[in-house]
Amino acid sequence: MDILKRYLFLYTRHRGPYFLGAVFLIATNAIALAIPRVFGWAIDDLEAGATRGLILSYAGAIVVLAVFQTVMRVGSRIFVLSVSRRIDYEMKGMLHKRLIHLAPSFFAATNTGDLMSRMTNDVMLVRALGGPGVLYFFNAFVMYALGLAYMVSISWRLTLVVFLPLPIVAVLVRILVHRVRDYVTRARIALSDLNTIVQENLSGVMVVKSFALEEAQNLRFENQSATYMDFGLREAWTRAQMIPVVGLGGGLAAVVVIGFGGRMVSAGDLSIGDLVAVMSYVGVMVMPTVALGWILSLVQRGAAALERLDEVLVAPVTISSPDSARPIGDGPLSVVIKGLNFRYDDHLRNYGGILKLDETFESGRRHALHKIDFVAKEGGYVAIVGRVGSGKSTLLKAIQHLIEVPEGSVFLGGVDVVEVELDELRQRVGFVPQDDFLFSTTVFDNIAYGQPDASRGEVDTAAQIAGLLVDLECLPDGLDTVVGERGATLSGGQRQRVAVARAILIDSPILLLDNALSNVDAETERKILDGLRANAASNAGRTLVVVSNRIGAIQDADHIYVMDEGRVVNHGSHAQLIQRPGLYADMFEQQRLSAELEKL
Amino acid sequence: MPEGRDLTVLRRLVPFIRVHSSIVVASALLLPALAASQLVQPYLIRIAIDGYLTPASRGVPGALSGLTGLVLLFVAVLFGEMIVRFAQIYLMQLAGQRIMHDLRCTVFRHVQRLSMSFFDRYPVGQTMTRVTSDVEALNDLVSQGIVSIARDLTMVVGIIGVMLWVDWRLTLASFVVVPLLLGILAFLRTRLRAAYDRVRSLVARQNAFLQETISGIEVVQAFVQERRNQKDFAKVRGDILEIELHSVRLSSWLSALVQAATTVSTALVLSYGGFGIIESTVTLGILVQFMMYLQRFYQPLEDLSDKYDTLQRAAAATTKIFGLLDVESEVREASNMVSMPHFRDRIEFKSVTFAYPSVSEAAAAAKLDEANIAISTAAPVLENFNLTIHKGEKVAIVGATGSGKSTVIKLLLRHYDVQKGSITVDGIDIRGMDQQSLRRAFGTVPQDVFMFTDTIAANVGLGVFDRESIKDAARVVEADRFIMTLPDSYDTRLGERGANLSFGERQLLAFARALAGGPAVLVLDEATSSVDSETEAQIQRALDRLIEDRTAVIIAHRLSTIRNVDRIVVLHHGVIREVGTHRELLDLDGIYARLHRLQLQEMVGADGVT
Ligand SMILES: Nc1ncnc2c1ncn2[C@@H]1O[C@H](COP(=O)(O)OP(=O)(O)OP(=O)(O)O)[C@@H](O)[C@H]1O
Ligand SMILES: Nc1ncnc2c1ncn2[C@@H]1O[C@H](COP(=O)(O)OP(=O)(O)OP(=O)(O)O)[C@@H](O)[C@H]1O
Ligand SMILES: [Mg+2]
Ligand SMILES: [Mg+2]
Repeated sequence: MDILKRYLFLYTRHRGPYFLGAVFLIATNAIALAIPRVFGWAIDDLEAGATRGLILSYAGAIVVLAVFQTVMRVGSRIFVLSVSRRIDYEMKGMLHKRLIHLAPSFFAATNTGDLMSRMTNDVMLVRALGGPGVLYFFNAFVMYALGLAYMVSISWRLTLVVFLPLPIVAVLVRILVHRVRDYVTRARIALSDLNTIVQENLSGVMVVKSFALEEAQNLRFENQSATYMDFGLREAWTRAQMIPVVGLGGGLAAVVVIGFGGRMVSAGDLSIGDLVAVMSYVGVMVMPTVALGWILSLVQRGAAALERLDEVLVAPVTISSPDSARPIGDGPLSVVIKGLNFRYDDHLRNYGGILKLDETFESGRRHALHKIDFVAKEGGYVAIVGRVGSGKSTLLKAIQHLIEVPEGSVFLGGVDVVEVELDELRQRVGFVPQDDFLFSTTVFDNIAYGQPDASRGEVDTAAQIAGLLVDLECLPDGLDTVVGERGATLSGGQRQRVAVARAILIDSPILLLDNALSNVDAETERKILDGLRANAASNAGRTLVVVSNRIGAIQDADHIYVMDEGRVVNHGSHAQLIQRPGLYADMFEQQRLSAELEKL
Repeated sequence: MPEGRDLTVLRRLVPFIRVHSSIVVASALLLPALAASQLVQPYLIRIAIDGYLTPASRGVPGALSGLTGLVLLFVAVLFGEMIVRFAQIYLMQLAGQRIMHDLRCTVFRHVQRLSMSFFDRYPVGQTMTRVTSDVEALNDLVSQGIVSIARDLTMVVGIIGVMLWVDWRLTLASFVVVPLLLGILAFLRTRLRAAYDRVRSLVARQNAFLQETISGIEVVQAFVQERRNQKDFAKVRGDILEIELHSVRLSSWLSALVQAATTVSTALVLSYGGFGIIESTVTLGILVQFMMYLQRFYQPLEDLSDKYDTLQRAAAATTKIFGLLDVESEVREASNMVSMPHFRDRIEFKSVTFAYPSVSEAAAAAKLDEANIAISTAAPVLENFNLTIHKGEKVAIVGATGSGKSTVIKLLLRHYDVQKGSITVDGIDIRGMDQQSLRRAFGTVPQDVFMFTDTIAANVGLGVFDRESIKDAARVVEADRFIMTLPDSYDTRLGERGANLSFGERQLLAFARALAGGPAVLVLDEATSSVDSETEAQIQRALDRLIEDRTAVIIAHRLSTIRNVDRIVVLHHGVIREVGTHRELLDLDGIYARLHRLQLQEMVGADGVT
């Protein structure tokens, strides 16, 4: 219940509307009790012989009460239920706010489908707790209070006795509630997994179809759906048991009333009418008690959901702006990396909660970066080449502070990146990630993503440098063509170049290209790189760092770093590097050889 | 907009409910037992009072003996009732959960049958919403609604009957408000339904937004758009909140007005009946009896008004779900389709012309309301494309980016249907073939690499191929090297889309996946674009041996990788401009020769040699 205490503020924040809702609810119930009273008087008067006028005034009174009752009832529902919708709104806002600031390492370790399930299905339960849960709780509470008051006024001794079976019921309910909680949690996880399957299936639909995996996917989905159903049913089974348990309580209470009350009657301490009244109040209180069981399970569901949401909300933001940031200035920037070591899995422990890792978690993977020293001067053009998985992308991410770099290892313009305001840092570094992710909006909006107020002219220029103009002519609506999710309705090369244009547009002093033109033909690549160089030159000192697999494309770089297994194994200019035996010379020879071969 | 009337929409759920009708019926059959128990309890109390307590209060000695038995009986009845309640509720949950399971699986299966043009257009988050959240939204209806609605309806009809039988004039008097009530209900219904429809649409949009944000988080952060993203999300949430609050107001009025109607009819009966009593046409007993009936009549009606809300909510979700189920695959299964025979002879593209399905058409056909893409008229991507690939031949397709190379492959795998001309395998039109059997003949490395959140072995073997072929394939593409450095080697679990691998590593796995099944035709779309030249050359050598006599279609920008193929097709803006061997094309001195010269210059010319 600790979790509920911690998130109680979600609900208490709305105590105003809740209070009003409760007042209205009490008023509604009071009126509901008053109407039979009025009717009773009317009957009494009718028996005594009443006039039409009197009857009409009774009827009129009832109608007036009805109007009041309607207003009160509408009010109580609107107040309470609206709060639940606001809680939904606020909770999603809180979650989104946290998610959007979590480091990429978090997202590499979690699943989109799971996160989404938390943000939709689990929030739903939190909301149900704040709406119907509270409403029914108020209702039950009012009923109890009224019933109890009446009972005590009749006989406090009998009232005390009635509640004798309560502890037994409470213990049983507690056991059930515990089990409900367990099943709820498991059902939530199963639903998350189900969501993940759907999400993955849809994202990878091309592979699913190309390899005819539909049937396998169907089976996987059906199994998971069955698992989810199974936990749902177990929860229902346990939850439904609360009804007989509460019934048992009611039964015992009735026994006590008749047994003990009977004795009181024969002793002359109680009239039969009073006994019957107490009996009927016990009856009246059974249903709210059943409802209370239901509310308890709502609470359990809400708590289970909150626990899962809490895992997101407490996930540490591992990359954030420092408290007192140092500016990096407006001018051209150099990039210096000193002895950088980095291992991805080291940072997983931060997310131990949501990943369910234990204290002893230890990864056996090697360092992605090992004692890296790297320099790119202001306005310089530096290239990085290396084998698959050698750490090139990781190095670029370090410059953008997209990975958790240690203090004193990465410097932009002489300032340690961990001391720089994140926004400022990232605005000064243009980045074309290897994953050419586009949003499903227009090409225009994608290019202008980093600078939404960019003019048509600026976007055109960026598109032109990225060599997109020819393609734009082919697209149905040119720049205003909407692309599919992840840019799915563009060709591979088009997508990459939109991503390049997006980075060019923000006109930053540093530009990082991570294999950004791997799906583009040689001719186009050449043009784009030349354009970029020209643009950089006219831009007085844009520092260009390019990762590429094509040595031909980057050999005119000022300086080339060669990486292998997370280390810089060589660096120098092209002319220097081909003289030294090693990976670079091999690669160059390889490409030259094939070129020569073709010439024959 | 409310689409279709609730009943028409909900009727489509009937087949799903019917499958589990035995459970629903069993649950319904328990209702009389509940009613009986409720009738018996007051009776037992009456006996207790008249038979035991009253004598006891009069001081009759030993009056209370025998009361214990009665009390125990009472407890037994009460407990029995609770057991029946328990059974009834569980049975309804059972039926409800099973119905939802069936529905989910049906929707998912349906989505699996849809063709690529659907997925091009509808955001992942939206379709996800349909498969899980929208089905979930039916929960209330299927697990609580069905039986209780039936019960309440029977109750209402029964009471009306009894009332008419007792005194039809008084009945009419008490129902004066009913037409008014129905009018109000109808008025609120359309609005409520419209609100819920909008909620479902907005929720889908919100989820699509979320899923896109999470997928593209690195871009969001790299371009410092966190704040804008937050604002956009707040806007979607705000829209939802607004319409939700609106629906709360509507449904509150709905339930309150039903209650008001009860009270007003009480007043009506009182005055009409009161006059009757004064004129002695009605007895007091009848009046009281009527009042009690009225209460019994409106109680289920009030419940129904709550259910009505549930019903509207469910109808909105059902509309969305069946909207998706009504979308037909644009790639149709032929009625008399054949399984793809063993590939013997040749693949032929005959004057193929193809344009990606125009979006507006697809959206109109789909009738889902959040088509991602607005109007557009697609120009042909391929025009009069002719190509024959013989068994054992290796054919390369080259051309500038966006010239339609990947499209050729997508057509060959029948992700889309051609508009003109035909594609045949061994003389059989692929439109007459079973899609899956066709695709199984190909091993594809798509341009966009995708990995499942699963182990490396599962990603390469797809749960079909054995461990040996997985390892063999991994060795051929040089993936074995990095896999062995991983702590769990082939059993290492990948993150989403392979997030814990480098790009090149993912591409190698995708390559291995295509090889693992030993497909009849190998299709490589930029299969080594993220791989360094050293590794690429190693793969090349191993591959050359492996596919010596295999058929292959290869797309590559790096011309060095295709020098050994039998034929090179040069595509330009969707039209074949040149075809021939490497030599022939160089002699032709056209597009290919120019591209080639460019790459050659880069490599050979740069260091000043030659
Ligand atoms: N799903 C789609 N819907 C609409 N248009 C598309 C779709 N896929 C590709 N296109 C368009 O069709 C044209 C050809 O695309 P295709 O992917 O075949 O090019 P490509 O030759 O493979 O290019 P690249 O070398 O860049 O991969 C492009 O103009 C592209 O915008
Ligand atoms: N999120 C991650 N979690 C764990 N390991 C990772 C993660 N991302 C990359 N790695 C590992 O770190 C190493 C370096 O990866 P990186 O992406 O920097 O390589 P790269 O040089 O860019 O390779 P490529 O040329 O294939 O893109 C690889 O061995 C890779 O498997
Ligand atoms: Mg990389
Ligand atoms: Mg392509």
